[in-house]
Formats: sequence, C-alpha cells, structure tokens
Amino acid sequence: MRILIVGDSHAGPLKRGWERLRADGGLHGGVSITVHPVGAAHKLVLPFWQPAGDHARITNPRFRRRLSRIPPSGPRPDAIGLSMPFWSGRVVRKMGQQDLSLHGIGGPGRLVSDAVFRQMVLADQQEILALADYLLSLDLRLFVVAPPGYFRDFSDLPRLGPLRLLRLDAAYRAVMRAELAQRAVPVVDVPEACFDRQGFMLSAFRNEDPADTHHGNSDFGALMIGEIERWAVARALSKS
Amino acid sequence: MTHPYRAQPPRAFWKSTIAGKHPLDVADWYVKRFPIDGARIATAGSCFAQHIGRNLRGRGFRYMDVEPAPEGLPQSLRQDYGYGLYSARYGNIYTARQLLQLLQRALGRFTPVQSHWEKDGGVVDPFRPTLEPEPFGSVAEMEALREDHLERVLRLFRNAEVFVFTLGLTEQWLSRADGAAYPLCPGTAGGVFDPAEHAFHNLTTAEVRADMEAFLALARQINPDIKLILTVSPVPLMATATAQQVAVATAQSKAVLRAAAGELVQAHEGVDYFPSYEIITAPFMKGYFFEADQRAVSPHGVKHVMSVFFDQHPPAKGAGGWVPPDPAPDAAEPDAEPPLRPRMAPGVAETAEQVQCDEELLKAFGPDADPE
Repeated sequence: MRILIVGDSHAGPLKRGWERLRADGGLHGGVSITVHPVGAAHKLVLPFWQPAGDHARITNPRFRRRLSRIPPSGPRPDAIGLSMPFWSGRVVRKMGQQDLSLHGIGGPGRLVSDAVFRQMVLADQQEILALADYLLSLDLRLFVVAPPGYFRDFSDLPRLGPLRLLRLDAAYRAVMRAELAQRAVPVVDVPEACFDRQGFMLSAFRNEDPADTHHGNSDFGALMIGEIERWAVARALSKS
Repeated sequence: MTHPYRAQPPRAFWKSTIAGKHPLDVADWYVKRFPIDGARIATAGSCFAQHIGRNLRGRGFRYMDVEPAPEGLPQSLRQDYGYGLYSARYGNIYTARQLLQLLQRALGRFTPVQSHWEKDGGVVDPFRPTLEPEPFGSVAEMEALREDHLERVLRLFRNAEVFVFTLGLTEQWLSRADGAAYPLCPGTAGGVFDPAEHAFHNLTTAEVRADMEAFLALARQINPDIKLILTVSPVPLMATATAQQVAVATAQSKAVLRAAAGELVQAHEGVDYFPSYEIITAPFMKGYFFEADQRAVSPHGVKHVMSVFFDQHPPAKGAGGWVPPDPAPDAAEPDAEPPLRPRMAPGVAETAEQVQCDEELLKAFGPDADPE
C-alpha cells in the first residue's frame, strides 16, 4: 500500500520519524510511506496551488522548490495524508492578539460566536479544503494526519492562558473534523497517551530545538508514522 | 421700520434659499451647533445610521467601534455578522424606547423577561434577532454573547463624546409582561407571535420625547458631557401595523420623530439635529434621491446628505483615525474602569514561529530538495 503524506512544517517530524524507523528497521513491510512538504503553515492561507488535469500544480515558487505537484508524477498513491488541516495556530494566535474568546471558556476576552469562529476557521483553511476537494474529485483517497497538540511552553500560552488555548484548539479541530466528515475524510489522531491530564502534549514529544515551541520531535514523528501504518493496515483489512 | 426678520440670514427665507433653485443647488441645510472634530463619536439608529457611521469612519473622525470584527473573519462576511455597521453590535435601533432600554440593560437596570426567541433549531436574541445569519446554538451562548455585548455598550456610552442617533420608527412591538421593546415583531425573525404576550404600540411625540429625555439623563449620569446629534431616517416604513395606508403611517411616524427631535434640540444645548430627513424628502427635492421602489435612498442621496454634514464638520487636519475598541477612560472619572491589560506586540511570537517552521522544513527535507 503506497501512502503519500504532504503537509506543512509538521510534516518535518513525520519525515524524521520515518527515517529513524527505516534506519532501525521499524517500518511496516506492507505499507510504503513517503513524506513531502508543501510549505510553512503561514503561507497556506494564500493561494498556493491550482488544478492541472490529473494533479494539483503547486504555484507558490518557494513551495515548488520542494514539491511541484500533488500527487508527484509516477505511480498513484493509494492514499494521501494531509498534515495541514488541523493546525490551529494561525487562528488561535489571532484570537489571542485581539483578546478574543468563545463562550464557555470563561476568563478574559471579548466573545465571538461559535458561528463567527467557524467562519474564521474556514477562511483559514480555505485553500487547504479546496485542495482536498480537488484531490477527492480526482478519485484520490485522502486522510488527515493530526499535528501535535500544544506544548506547555507554546509561545502564545502566556497571552491566552491554558484553558483558552486548549479550548480554542479543540473548537478549531471540531470545526475541521465536521468539514472532513462531510467529505468522508478520516483522521489519524494523536494518541491520547501523548497528552497530560490537562490536555497539553507531553514534553517527551517536544521538538529537539529548545526555541521551537510548537513542533513535535522525531519520537512524535515515529509514533505518528506507526499510527498511520496501523490505520492503513486496518483499512486494507477492512477493504479485503 | 425694523423687525426680527430683518436680522435673519438669507437661509431663513424661502425665496432666496429654495425658490427657483435646482434641488442640488439648495444650500444652507445645516449649521452645526457644536464641533465634533477630535471627539470620540459613536453611532446607532435605524439602518440609515449605517451611512453616517461609515462616512465618519472613512473620513478619519475618531469613530468608536467597541466590537470590531475579528481579524480573520473575511471582509465579505463582516456585515453579515453584524460587524462594522454601528459603534457596537446592537443591530438596528429603530425607536427611542429601544435606545433607552439598551442603556438600561447595559446598566443592569432592566432585565427583560423574555430572554430569547427560538429559531430554526437554535435561538436568537430578541433585541438583535438578525445579528448573525444563523441562530445561536444554545441559550447559554446567546446569553454569554449578550452579556459581553452589553458590557461593551456601557463602555461606549461612558466614553463617547458625541453620540449620533438616527430616529427611525414610532411603531413598536412590546412585551406585555414588562414593556420590553423589540426591534422586530416577534415571529418575523424568530420567536412566536402571541397576542397575549406581545402588544403593538405607536409611540406619540410625548413618548418619544420622554424616552429620549430619559436616555439623555441616564447617559449623562455616567458621562456628563456626552453630546447628541439627532437625525431622522428618511426611509419610509416597510410596513405598518396600524389601520392606515403605509404612506400615511409613514407621514405620522416621521412627523412624530421630527417634532420630538426639534423639541429636544430646543430643550438642550448639547443636542443638535442634522436634517438628513429633509434633504431627502422635502417636496422640492421631488423624490430625486429615492430608488425605484420609492423607499431606499440612492447612493447619490447618501453622498449628498453626507456632503452637507461634512461641510459643517470638516475633518480636522491630522485628526485621529480609528478609535481603539476600548479607549482608556479619563482617570479623573469617579467610575473610571481599570486600564486595559497591555497587549503583547503582535508579530514577535508569530515571526519566531514562522522561522521555526522554515527551520523544521529545512531540518527534515533539506534546502532545495525537489522530490521529482
């Protein structure tokens, strides 16, 4: 089973985890995974692709240096994993900068309605959802790979506070989960065991760079590659 | 022989001001009573008030918006979700009674019995039922948003130096239980109309005057120097609940509002009247500024009205632009609110995160590794 994973910078730990598993002989034999980056998350809100017959052509010049089309030329993958649709950082940061919140969270912040928040999420993911729709229209099978949750030293935590950060992230993911469910796109989630009791990611999965407060490390990447393999095998079994 | 008319300026005489003039050449509609440049200005009212707010904002006045649209909500959706229409998200305030009750609710002096209306499986706020395209998901959400809104409305009235209010209607639907004034008839945009619960009332001149007097007194309790500019919307009624024909009902409604506004100006130094109603509807204007439906005011009409306003209120050179959502209250005020918490400079953490994203990509995929 051939799986292609494309995504934002959270694809980095997946790639590094995959490389480590390959070096250790820990990859599942029946699943072939390749990981390609699209580009940094903050650029994904702008148009970065366009339809091109049987593939999506990447139009952002910088993105194209690493990946010029989805899927790449060659054999069609059996499934494409997108690691872009669940990263809430852009919207969460905007909410913090403007001191905004949602009802039920409590604490400071001007409230916006759930419907307004949903529109903010959909605007944030507009290009990515359009890409997903296009790939689905090409009869490509999609799934989503969840990025890590937030770590306790996330740069915007002091501004937002833990409860607001976690609740906004959950609300963001809920909006996207509903959108993906409408499209019958499954999600490979981060295992519950990766989170502490409050809902923050365990520091064991924090990026190796002390200055990086939001990416996972290669342990996280390896763990998620294992999750993807399990999901793929289960899916293959259920198909058979 | 002398008499008082001899001292009157030319604008006081029909012959020199109106007769024989092309409608667009009629001048001297308005002489301001007090300046507004440099003042924090807030607006509310019926839908015509949106034009005033938008123009004040666009011309660099210190226009207040205590509930600005979130950055991240697309521009094309902001008005649909009630942002940028007025100085707060109160929706259309058609009547003096609604305005008075808005301030009373913001001050916690009035809590209407009917807290929500059901609509399409969700709920709406009876006092701004068309605020958002979809109903709220729960009563709790709607009430939390309303509480948050009213807090900001109170800040608005505490901090505004000039409040521009456009009187729109006299016809009003009220709760029989407590007199709560709804902007729309129950059942039209949510809720269920029940004649046992809801009553129609057409405000009289005395009632409009009394409501506005009560509003002004209450507003000056929390903001003694607040000034008021009144206008009357030139937009006719869409429909009347009276037995009158709609144009006849419109004439009564506008006459009442215009008379009440005139009385208020006569009674208070700090109240001005701007004649947007007359500029659009005066008989010699021949309906020139109405659209084909004879109801909507054309963009040309709005432009003309606003040009009259800004002839008297030219934006001062270097006047402040956008007023931040929560202007710091005057420290001398006895009921001054605590200053806002300082905000982190946006962009620092964001830039750092973007660098980290690039570094992570570099670490995993190398600099120019095109896989194809």
